[in-house]
Amino acid sequence: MTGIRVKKRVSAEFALEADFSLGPGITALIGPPGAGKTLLLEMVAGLATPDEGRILLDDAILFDGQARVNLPPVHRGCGYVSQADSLFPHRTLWQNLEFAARRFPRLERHRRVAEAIEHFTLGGSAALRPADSGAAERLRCSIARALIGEPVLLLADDAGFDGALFGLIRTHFQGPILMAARDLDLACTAASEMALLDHGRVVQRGAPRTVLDQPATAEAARLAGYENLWQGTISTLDRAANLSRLECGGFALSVPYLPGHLRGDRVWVAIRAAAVRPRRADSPPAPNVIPAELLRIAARAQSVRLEFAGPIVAELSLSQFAALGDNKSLSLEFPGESLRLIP
Amino acid sequence: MTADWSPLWLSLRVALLVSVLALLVAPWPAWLLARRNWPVITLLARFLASVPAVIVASLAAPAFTWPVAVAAGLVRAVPYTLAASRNAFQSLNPGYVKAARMTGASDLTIFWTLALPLDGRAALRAAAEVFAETMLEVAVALWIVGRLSVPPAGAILLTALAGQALALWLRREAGAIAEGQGGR
Repeated sequence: MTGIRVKKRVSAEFALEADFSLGPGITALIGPPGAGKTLLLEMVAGLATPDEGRILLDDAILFDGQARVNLPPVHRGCGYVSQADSLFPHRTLWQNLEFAARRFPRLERHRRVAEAIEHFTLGGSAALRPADSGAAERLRCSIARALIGEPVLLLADDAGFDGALFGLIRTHFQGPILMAARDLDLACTAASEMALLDHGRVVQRGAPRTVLDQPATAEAARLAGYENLWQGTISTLDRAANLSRLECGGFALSVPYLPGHLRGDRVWVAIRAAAVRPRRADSPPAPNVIPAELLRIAARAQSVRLEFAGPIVAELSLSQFAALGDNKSLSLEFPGESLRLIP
Repeated sequence: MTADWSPLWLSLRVALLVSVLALLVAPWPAWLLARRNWPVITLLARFLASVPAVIVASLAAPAFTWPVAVAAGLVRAVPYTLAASRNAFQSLNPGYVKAARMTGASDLTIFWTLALPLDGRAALRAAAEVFAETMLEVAVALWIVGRLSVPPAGAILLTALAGQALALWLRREAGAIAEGQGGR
């Protein structure tokens, strides 16, 4: 098994505490800057030392605080692609790869470098220094460098990967990948597992779809990209009618019956901006429709973002926005199936 | 009457030896110190680097011979070169060091393959400055004991200026390299 259980106190305000196992596929660590993603990856790589805990990779102990095991990075079987460009600037791409493979005998080293150059289509810039080659080549070379020692686990720190690059990596490396990312779309496309990291703690983990659709906590909802997040008070609980009502500041919402709650309990309500449906204020009344004051309209590449007082954010496709016409006196519908209730 | 040029040869010999020895001795401990925080050693180095040891030795030593001058010069030159190299090594991109450590590179390997090629110019620059300053210091020491006439003093001054110019040029070059490192 591959598991990470670590604790490290970095400062009086920040401590990293994580405990999770890694599946065979790609695990995406999602979190804001400063959440501890890089530190976590560095602890697995052996570049940072946890205060306590235990790191296992395929049942091999990489780190054990109690038994005082702390393998050096080179014996951990991890490849590491750092966030910033870290190819040696005074060496060509070929020489960079050669340096990473220098513990192999000469012929083997040459074979490995030549293979890496071919696999990652670096033939055209192998003789160039990093500053003279393109950003894409530098990134591919960093990956090739991380993989040249045939690691068991690849650690990738938010290095600007995209779906195509993951395809390329997968054709030459089949092991598990732990990657830090900010891009939820990429995590959804590439990852089989997702862990949300907030202020040094894993707040939720699971399949990306599950995590994104069913955030377990308010922090998880925020990290999973829910633009609208309010706290509401339960004012009505009607089991027979399968109905609860929530008072959320200036408005009330009807949601299905909430088992295990009492009247007066506070719960979080989250809804994605794309699920909020603005309608004309003069359209017929319906459940969960509230009047709202439009503050700002922000055009985006593929959509239009409407910001209402509250604050409430709605995101419309261009055609939906056009259908609203010039009538900017709007009310907002919150479709019941899109509302997420978080205890 | 011909001038006595021996002060020029003396100061040249002392300054060259001092700067070359400092260049050989200082960078490796500077690299080790760059990655640790030892305030006492840092302060001590800063203090020694500001002592005009050659002048002190010329007044205090019973016989002011050239080996004494070299030894005194090193008291100042080594800490000075060490501090300058340490500063430069501290600015070495930690990403490079981590990448090297991932492949099993030792401190010595990283020193040879990364620290020296990328930031070694600071040590060269410091050695050039040490050369110029030691020349002047020896000249001042000889002047104090009354062994310096005008023509060699002028030559010493010119040589010291050349050393300083070399240091300035190295500093500019280092700046240009640092800018080039950013990549496109």
